[in-house]
Amino acid sequence: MKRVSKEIVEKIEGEAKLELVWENEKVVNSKIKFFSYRGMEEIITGKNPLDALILTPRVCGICGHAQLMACVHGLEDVYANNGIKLHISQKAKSIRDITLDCEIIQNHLKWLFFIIMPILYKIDSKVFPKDKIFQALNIAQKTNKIIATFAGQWPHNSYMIPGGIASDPTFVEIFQANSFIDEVILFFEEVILKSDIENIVAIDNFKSLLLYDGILKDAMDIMEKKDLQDLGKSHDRFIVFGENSIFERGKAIKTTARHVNEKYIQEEALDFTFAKNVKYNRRFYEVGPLSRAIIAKNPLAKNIHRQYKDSILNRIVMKIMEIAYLSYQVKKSLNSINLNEESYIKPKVKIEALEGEGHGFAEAARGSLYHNIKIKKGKIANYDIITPTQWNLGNSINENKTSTLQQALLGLKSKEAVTLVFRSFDECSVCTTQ
Amino acid sequence: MVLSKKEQKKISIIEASLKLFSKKGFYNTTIPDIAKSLDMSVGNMYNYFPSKEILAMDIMQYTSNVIGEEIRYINNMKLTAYEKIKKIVTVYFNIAETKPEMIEYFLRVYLSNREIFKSGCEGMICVSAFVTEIMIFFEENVRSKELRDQDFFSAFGLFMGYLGGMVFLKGENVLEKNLSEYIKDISQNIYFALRAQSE
Amino acid sequence: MSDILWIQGITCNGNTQSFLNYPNMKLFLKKYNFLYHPYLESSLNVVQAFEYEKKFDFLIIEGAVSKDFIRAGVNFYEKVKNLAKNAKYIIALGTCATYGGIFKEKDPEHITGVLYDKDKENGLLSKFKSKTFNIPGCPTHPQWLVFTLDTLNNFGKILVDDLSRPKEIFGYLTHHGCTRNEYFEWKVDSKNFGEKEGCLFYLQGCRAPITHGSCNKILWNEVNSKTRSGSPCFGCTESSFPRNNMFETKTFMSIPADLPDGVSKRAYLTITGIAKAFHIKRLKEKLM
Repeated sequence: MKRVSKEIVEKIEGEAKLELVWENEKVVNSKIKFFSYRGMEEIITGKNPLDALILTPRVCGICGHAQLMACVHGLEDVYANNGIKLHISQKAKSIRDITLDCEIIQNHLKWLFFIIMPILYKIDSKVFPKDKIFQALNIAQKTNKIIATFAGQWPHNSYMIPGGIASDPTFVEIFQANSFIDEVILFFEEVILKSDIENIVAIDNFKSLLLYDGILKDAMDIMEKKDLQDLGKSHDRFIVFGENSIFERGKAIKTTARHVNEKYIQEEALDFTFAKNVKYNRRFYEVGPLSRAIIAKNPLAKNIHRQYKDSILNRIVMKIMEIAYLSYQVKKSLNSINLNEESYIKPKVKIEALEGEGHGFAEAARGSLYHNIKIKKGKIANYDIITPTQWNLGNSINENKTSTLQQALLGLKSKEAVTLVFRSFDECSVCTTQ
Repeated sequence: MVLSKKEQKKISIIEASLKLFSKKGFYNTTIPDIAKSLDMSVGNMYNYFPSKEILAMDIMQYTSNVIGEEIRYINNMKLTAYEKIKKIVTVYFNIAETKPEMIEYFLRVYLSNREIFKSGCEGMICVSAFVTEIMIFFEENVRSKELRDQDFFSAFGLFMGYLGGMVFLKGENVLEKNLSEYIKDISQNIYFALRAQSE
Repeated sequence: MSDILWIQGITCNGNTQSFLNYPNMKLFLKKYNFLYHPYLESSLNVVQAFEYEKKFDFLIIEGAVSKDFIRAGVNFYEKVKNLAKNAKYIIALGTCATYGGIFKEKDPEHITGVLYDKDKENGLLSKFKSKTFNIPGCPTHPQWLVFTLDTLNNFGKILVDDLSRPKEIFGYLTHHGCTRNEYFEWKVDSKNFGEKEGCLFYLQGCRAPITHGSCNKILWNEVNSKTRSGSPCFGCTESSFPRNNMFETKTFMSIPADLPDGVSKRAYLTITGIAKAFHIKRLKEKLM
């Protein structure tokens, strides 16, 4: 006897409708529908190419900085495809990566303390302490101060431009950013996983991870107690397109990484939702911190994968650990920037004089972000944005070929389990529909 | 605007000096020369202008204000770009014919003796009233799409260099006709050179 | 405790995320209760929020308005009209809610702000003008919002300009307090991005002398601003946002098409001509 449940999922940077088909008290099918569409791709079409740097961050309030990075990469790729080699200094690249890493960190902190921990505590019939949430929010604000130090403000800055960055920092800014990232690292060491950062980033197996107290251990304890560890497994297929900071490009089925080429990315529109599916070579993949870890051959991710594959345990642990990896990387980068390099090297040709296509990639908090830009007669002729949530939250019309989310929801036995698995992907509604 | 007695006196000194400087040149004209032409004592002259250099600079500002005032009047009219160009050329040539000492002074003292003007007339500050009005003329007509957008100085050089050149030639008695008979052709040349091309 | 119902129309969530940067969130939540908030915990869920029938203190509308936009399965416009009737005060939060903003560009005929449609006072909810306050910004600074809420909460009224924006925030220009002011004064242009020196007004499209806001007085994230860090101000608090070619200053014959607020062409050109005549050695050199 099948029954259908329909629920509005909210506070995912917007809302969506999740329809579940239950049979014998288990989920056998699902559909995710997004209600509306703002038309950012059309708004950008016809504009001057550099104006895209101001418009694309407004695709999303929480990952606008990743949108900016994908946009500037796309514009710089237009130059490359016209045979013009732009020189971007290592200093500009480092600072761009630092600020993008910070946006990812603040996103994960918010996700962990506002969403995941309260859900887990609720499953365990407890209430997650509000004080911890405010403490984490405070730390997330500190990472945003790092972004503001170099980019002027967060959210919504446009300090990355083809050729480099608009700002020219001094050591005052470096030291200021350093003290903020130190606070983030200290928070991780005191609250999330009680150890030193040097040790934390070197942990390479699940058993060792569980030796340390903290929020991460609390989460693992609840998952073990409530038998949640094996939930949410999907196709065990991972993909990463962006190459900022510590991330590598590639795809993996299970854990063996291979090369990727953007020409195999396919988008398909559906008639019942404003979100488009996206596939690689006709298959659904997962994007996000777990994918990034697997493809970068992270030993901890691979170790967890042996027992738990791509369950929510692996997904949640690697997302939490990414906070540590990125904080550590930000600190390293800050201490190795050469301020004597140029912040910006003006391209010899104005972008309005070029024609052609550019591919821009960046790793946003939730996964790979892709901007495909086409310029003609000095204006944007076409702008296509493919967001991480599109990768994770597709709808397959063919019941035998489920999307990443649909596969993860199959066989779940309770509404709580559905909520937890759903949120482990950390959706963004505004990004998905653009 | 009613000028005070002091200001009126200053202007009469300036106008007298203009005539003398443009005839005899800056270095050959002395303060006593000017004072004598106005029936003033030299001491009294220094009450108004502490030095010949300061007088020279004030003359330039005065001249620039006079011409600037005329162009401002034209700028405020509702005319096409061509009509305004013609009016500006007419005003310039009119002054060249009725008050030749003004243009003479500009060409033969201001442009030719830069050393006198180097501290107190840096850049274009002493001709600012005039230059501002030309800038406004250009800005408004580029904004209305009658003139082509370009760097200010390339347009300014074309317009003013041309007019100054014509007056210079007149002063050398090279031109066969009166300046006023060249107004139409010159206005057309300037307009055709500066106008926006239809796509 | 005052009640706030914060709902969204056509938005990117930027103002919500900006608000999450408010440094004293704990204290804020002791004074204000969120009946609904797009991110923080709230007493109602989004469906209940749209159906709310009781009177309450503050309705915050984030995002642009159109007659057929669907949020959470309901028609946003129909629901927000009801909520607006029951609210004591309405706050149009962000540039989209104030004038239409970026999302108006998708369908300029049919998408507006709450009170304003660009610069015309015929937004889809303009009948609520008497109790609506505009806090534009793309996004809005969290302090601007909290200031407005606190003022209305404490005094029941707030000083506004003729665009219904709080004067104590929008009476300033973004230009006031920029650390590059000396370069503006002496008309020393920045030739390129990525330099500490030079004013961004002449070539790089900075709109700060024409834009109302407190960005260089109440710093962003308590540490910085766009112009202090070398990015031009894009004029995001004004009805003209987004403009075209925002990284360049539009000129007519080398003269900026838009001059500092209230300054006449003659005044500007005269001052500029004089300033540019002098070459101040210190200002031509690198700062360090």
